[in-house]
Amino acid sequence: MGSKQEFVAMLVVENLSKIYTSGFFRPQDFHAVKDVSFSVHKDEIFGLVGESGSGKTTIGKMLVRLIDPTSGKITIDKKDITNMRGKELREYWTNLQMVFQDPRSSLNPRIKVGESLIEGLKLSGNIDSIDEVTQDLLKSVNIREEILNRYPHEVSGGEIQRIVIARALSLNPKLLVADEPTSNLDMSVQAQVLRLIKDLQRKHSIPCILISHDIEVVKWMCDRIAVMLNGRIVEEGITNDVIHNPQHPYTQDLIKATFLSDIPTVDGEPGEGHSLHNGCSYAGKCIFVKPECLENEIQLRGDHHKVACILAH
Amino acid sequence: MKSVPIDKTIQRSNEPILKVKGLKTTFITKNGDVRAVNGLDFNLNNGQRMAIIGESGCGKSVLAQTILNLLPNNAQVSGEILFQNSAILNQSDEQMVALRGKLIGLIPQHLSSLNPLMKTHLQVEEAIQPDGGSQEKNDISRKMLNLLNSVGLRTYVSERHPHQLSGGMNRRVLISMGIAQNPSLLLADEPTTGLDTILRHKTVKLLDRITQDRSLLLITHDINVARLCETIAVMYAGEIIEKGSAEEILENPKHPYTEGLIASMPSRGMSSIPGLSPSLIEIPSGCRFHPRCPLATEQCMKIHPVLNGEQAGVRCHACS
Amino acid sequence: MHKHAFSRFEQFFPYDIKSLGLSTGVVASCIILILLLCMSVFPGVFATHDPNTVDLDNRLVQPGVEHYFGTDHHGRDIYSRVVYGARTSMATALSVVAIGVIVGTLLGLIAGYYGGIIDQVIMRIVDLFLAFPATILAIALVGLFGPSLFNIVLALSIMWWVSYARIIRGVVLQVKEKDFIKGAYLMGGKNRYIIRKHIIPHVLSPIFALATLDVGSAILHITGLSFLGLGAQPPTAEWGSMIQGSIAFMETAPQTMIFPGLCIIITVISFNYLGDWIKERSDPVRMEKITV
Repeated sequence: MGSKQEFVAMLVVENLSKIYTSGFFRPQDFHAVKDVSFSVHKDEIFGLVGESGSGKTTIGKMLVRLIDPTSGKITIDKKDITNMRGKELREYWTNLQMVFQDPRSSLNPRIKVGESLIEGLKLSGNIDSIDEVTQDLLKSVNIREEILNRYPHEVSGGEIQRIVIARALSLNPKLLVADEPTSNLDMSVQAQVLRLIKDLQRKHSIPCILISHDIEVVKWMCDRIAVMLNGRIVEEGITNDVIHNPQHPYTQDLIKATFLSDIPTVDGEPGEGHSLHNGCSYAGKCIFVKPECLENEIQLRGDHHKVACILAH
Repeated sequence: MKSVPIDKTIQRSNEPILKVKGLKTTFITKNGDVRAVNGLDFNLNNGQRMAIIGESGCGKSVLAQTILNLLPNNAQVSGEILFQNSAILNQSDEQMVALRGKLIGLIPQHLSSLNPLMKTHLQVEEAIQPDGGSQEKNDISRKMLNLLNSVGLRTYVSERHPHQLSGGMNRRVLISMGIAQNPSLLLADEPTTGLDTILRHKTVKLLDRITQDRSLLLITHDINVARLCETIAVMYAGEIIEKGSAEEILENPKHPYTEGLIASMPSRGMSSIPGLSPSLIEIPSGCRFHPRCPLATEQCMKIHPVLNGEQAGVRCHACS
Repeated sequence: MHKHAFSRFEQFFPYDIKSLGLSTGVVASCIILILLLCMSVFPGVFATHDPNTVDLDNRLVQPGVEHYFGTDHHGRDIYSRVVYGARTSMATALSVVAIGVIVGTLLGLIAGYYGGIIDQVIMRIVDLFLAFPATILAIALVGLFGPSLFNIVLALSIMWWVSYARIIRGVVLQVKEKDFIKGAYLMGGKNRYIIRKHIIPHVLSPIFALATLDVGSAILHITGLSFLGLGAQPPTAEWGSMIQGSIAFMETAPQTMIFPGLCIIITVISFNYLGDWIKERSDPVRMEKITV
């Protein structure tokens, strides 16, 4: 990673929040994402780590504008995309690409893989050299040509993910979001797909957000990571710093759990019972909990290695 | 009814509790015969814990269904399965009912195994006493609460429906149902699928605790979870290609496939195995791994290697 | 190699013919329906007599070589009337279903895809129509405009689209949430492109299955209303009105009632059989399970 002077943020996220309101008679707000800020520069893979329900997928979908943020600001390449609507958004969408979690539903089951691969190029009107481009795309993701003539259910999950990556990058996007791209794949295939994302990200030099629950994957893939809990970032920093020197008790437990070493947590699920107080989401599970933890939400503080925990300050 | 002799005294001995010999399970389909389990041999000793690891489509889940005789109608099974020295393959449904739960417990893979319309306590009570039992109602509810507490669930969980509980809690309810009748052998089919890191960790710890005094056959794709067991068998295309102690397999794998599988873990460098797992309809000749193997020779294409060794062994021409 | 020239047919029907699992019942239904279709298109080829020629010397003749199904109380050949009746019944039933499918699919697609206020408006209209008993409305309309087949078709069509709109909206809401639709947005697809390319193919198979099942029900409705004297007017040959005309001779000349009745039953069963079979196969996930 470059030094601080060279750091030109390609993607800037400021105070992003998403609130879902449900219930008719007594509407209840559910904060899926709360006040999240981070920035990613163009040669960087940024990891969002957290367990299911931590809001990481919601952030990913807001970044590619498939979900409208409730408040906050998303800037890509100095352009504010938060409030784009209608035609403007439709035209800008090709700059925002996403690789989805489930390869089984990422491609239209009734359209042949080959047609899906070049869908974006066809829609953008680049029809002249489409055969050549297809060949290049295939080569870049190392896929055999005969697969183009098959339907998605006749192709393996790893191959579909590679096709999805190829078609996402065929449009020269300004942002790539990969939402758990390998969590439905076998271990021996996972490596191929992740390597491919890393290689192509380096080659195209676009900011990439990798969403994952797997610390090991993130450790291998990302330059910087943010650990999420209940819609907030609790720790953010350079991958090695965060993983080898975790400051937040939740990060510490998450890393210990990954390597199946003993964790002295309180019983129950992460986030369970959180609605009972206004404080830190992890207060109920944290063995270092203090009375102050229950009173106010702890802000994310720090320079390079940011932590939202009173113990760290 | 002739039932299988019940032997509840568990000692860690070398007497196998489960013997599988030449087991084959084939599904007859329109597109051809799917050979999901294709010549499986292993012994599980009393009190031993064994993990079967493999990738999707290697037949590992079919193995659990075959042992408990839960296969669909288009399945054909041959070979031999001995549980506590009595044959349990192709038993009548009645005899299997006497076996399931009481002697062999199952932790199913999918959370959909829980009835969404039944409160937890009813489901666990049903697992404690399926039907026609004579236990007192109070006894059963006491046992139910003890069981839930033993898997780390609080009492209020018993009054909830599955959709009111989190995935981790439902998983623990399933585990409690698997051990409800204190079986001497527990089959766990992918007990950590769909669980997050911390919950996976807790589930593994829980499995470790409840299998201190019983045998475990753990079916998983997660190599980190397999560490829980003393022995590991690696399955590929319906057969075991390597088995041995967990340490030996993880630290010093011999078969090229095992080697590749372990090297594909992110912590071990994340290199991938070229090619795809074979379809179980058209299984490659000779060594089933040869089309993807970097060490394949002409011999590998023609001759199907045997699994050498009793406790530990490898099915490979190059390594044996 | 034309990698991009994928045929339309394959897109809507990406299955292997051999794997369809045709049963005898389905084949029989198909043959009967094709035969009925031919009869309604070329009744002259099948009919032995003019359906409307009155022959008072040969009234209520028993079935035989000259008159296959016998004659009615005006001496008209029942077989020929059944053949011409097929045309009336099929044509009216198919028009009702076709109008229903087109209007319902269009409104369901719009409501499901765009959502919001458009969806609200369309669905409230649907609720309004659902609150009205279809047969009563048909009777009222016919009472207003006078009894005729055209008015029957009109009255039934007004009610028929409602169920399609609701079902299509449901399917669209489901499909819309799939990742491949989101992917299509990111590929730069416009709304109309996404509806045409990604949503309509998924809507077509359930609609086709439902429509097939519904033709049988439409035939029953139309023959029922004609039986009440609200539909086809004499001397037009129509199965429902044929049965109505034969009530007085039911005991002495049962052929006047049995043959048109049988035709209704066989046709409705065939449509239901075929519709069920299509419904079973129209789900691609299910289809995969069958073939795997």
